[in-house]
Amino acid sequence: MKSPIRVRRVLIPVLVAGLAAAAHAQSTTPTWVYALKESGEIVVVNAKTRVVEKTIRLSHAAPDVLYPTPGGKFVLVTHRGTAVISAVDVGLHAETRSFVLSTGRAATLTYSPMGDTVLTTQAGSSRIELWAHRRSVLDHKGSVTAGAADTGALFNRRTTRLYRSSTAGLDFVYLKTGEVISTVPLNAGRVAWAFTPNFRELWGASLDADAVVVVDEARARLVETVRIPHRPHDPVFSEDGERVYLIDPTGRSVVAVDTRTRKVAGKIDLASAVIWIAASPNGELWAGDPAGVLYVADARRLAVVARLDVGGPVRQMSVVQFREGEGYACF
Amino acid sequence: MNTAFRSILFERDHSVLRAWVLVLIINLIGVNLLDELGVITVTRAPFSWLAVSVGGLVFGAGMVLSGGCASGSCYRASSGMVGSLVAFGGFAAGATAAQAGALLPLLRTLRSPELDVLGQEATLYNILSPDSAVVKWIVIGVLCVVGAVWLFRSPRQKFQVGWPWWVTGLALGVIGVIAWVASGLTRRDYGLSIVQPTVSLTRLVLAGDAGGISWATFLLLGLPVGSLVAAKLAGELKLRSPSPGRLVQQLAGGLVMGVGAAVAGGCNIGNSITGVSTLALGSVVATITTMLGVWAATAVLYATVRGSRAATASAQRAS
Repeated sequence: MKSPIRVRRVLIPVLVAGLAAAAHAQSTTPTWVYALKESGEIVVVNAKTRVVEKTIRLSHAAPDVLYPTPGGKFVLVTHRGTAVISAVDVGLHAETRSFVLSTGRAATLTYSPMGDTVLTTQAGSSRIELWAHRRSVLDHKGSVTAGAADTGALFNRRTTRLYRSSTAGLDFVYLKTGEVISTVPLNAGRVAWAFTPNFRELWGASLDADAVVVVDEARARLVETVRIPHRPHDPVFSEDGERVYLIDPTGRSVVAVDTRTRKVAGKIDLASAVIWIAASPNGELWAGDPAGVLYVADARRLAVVARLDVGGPVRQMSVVQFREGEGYACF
Repeated sequence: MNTAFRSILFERDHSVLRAWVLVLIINLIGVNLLDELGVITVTRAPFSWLAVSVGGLVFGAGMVLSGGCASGSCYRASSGMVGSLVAFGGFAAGATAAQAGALLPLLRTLRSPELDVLGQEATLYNILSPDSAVVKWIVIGVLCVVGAVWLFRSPRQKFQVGWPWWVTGLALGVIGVIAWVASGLTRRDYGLSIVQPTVSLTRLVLAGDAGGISWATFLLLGLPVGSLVAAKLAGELKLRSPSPGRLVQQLAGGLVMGVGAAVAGGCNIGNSITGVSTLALGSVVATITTMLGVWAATAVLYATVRGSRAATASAQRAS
């Protein structure tokens, strides 16, 4: 018996339309660069058009550092000399609220990858304060003490572990109890850490030796020490995790290291000394100097493709892109 | 999977179950080997023991009510079964309500008690020995050997519709491993799944929220296309609609299935194939409780049908 409704002629166009809509939705997620100027303003640059779209003025003076949430919905801004934190809504490019941290001024602020937890540290203290983060509001949950503190700390993907430099090496801290469950011994001095995008490895740029150390997270052991001269710092991974970029100490170049071969793949030469780099989700590398000059580089070809001036001087910059990621969904 | 789980207690033909075991053997070896080699990165859901227990039970019961699992309803819908289309619609609604709607507070409450192993997601091997690759592969080896022995000793399939179980298991097993690699290329570190893409597609269509669109969304969109082609080639493409009462039951079953799957963190595909192959304890528990839910609901359904027939027969004798 033939079907009275020609299912194929209805279903296939609907499915094709659905595929096209989904693909289009994926490709149009906007990306911005937020540049915090010394004057206290935040300049918003559209990363695609490379045009300044807006300038944000915060209600509190002396903004210090920008901290975009992992999901890209908000940017938290600390202020020098106070415990005030401002929250900027990225969808509106406007400040929506500000609040005071009950534990005092934060020296560093780190999000968990899912955006649900924030840790803050204070200068000269080995205490790490933990906060529950929801829609730009921070609620104090407690604190953890683990080793010496001057290079920040990182969370794992699920916010169950913390990784922090200590005098002995890299401490793995179990957040539920605050206990150090493992320490990876390193002879690398002070190290600035970054996780690979898949959270399998921690890469640490030594501030005291010409080395980048690689630690396997699951096995809690050192797997490689990559010798790179001149102590490049501030490791930043490409979105696909295939490369890690570090700033040469002179600031006039960015070193690219292949994460599979663990060898230097090349470098990007810059016309001025940059203090900040970030990898954009679309395969570009952004770098900024204190005078407000922004460099846009093709991260694969290791060549600068554009340069723009936000009218400095600039304290810090950050790439912001709204994406799903805050909160655990399911499979 | 509804058939596979039901057959353990209520039927003699275990072909579908054998196919599932073969899928698991292939994925246990393939997925974990690729993870060790760094080709893929395996991620696991946390062990929210209350959520996976309750969610699995509810999901299993929902499968029986709706007449099939989530993916089963999806592919049957494209072969013309209206009841399955209604069930899948209910599944989408239930899952979205639990993940992003009115039932979200319930989901959060059920998920809040979590067990981990020193900060790592609980697995069948790290509960024995954290950070040990040797223990991991011993566990995988034992499971694969036990499964393989059972498969080899299985009696020959007497009655067969479609592919033999070993062809189905082999095909789906290989697809399951390939799915991890393909998904990993888009930086989604998981394999086959149905719940998350269903919810994200529902949110896109109903609310214009494209935030959850991922590789899995295209997997879900491709599923009915493939089943449409297969149904046409097999001569099974025909519009069929059950009675109104059965439609209502399938809708209700789909809703229950959706809520259960969202709470459990995945359905029979996301948990019982993909999750179990990573040895995630949450997925193992969810699979066990899903089986229990299927058995309980099937027993109640059979008892209801038997009671109804007995009453009818008694009435006929009396008349």
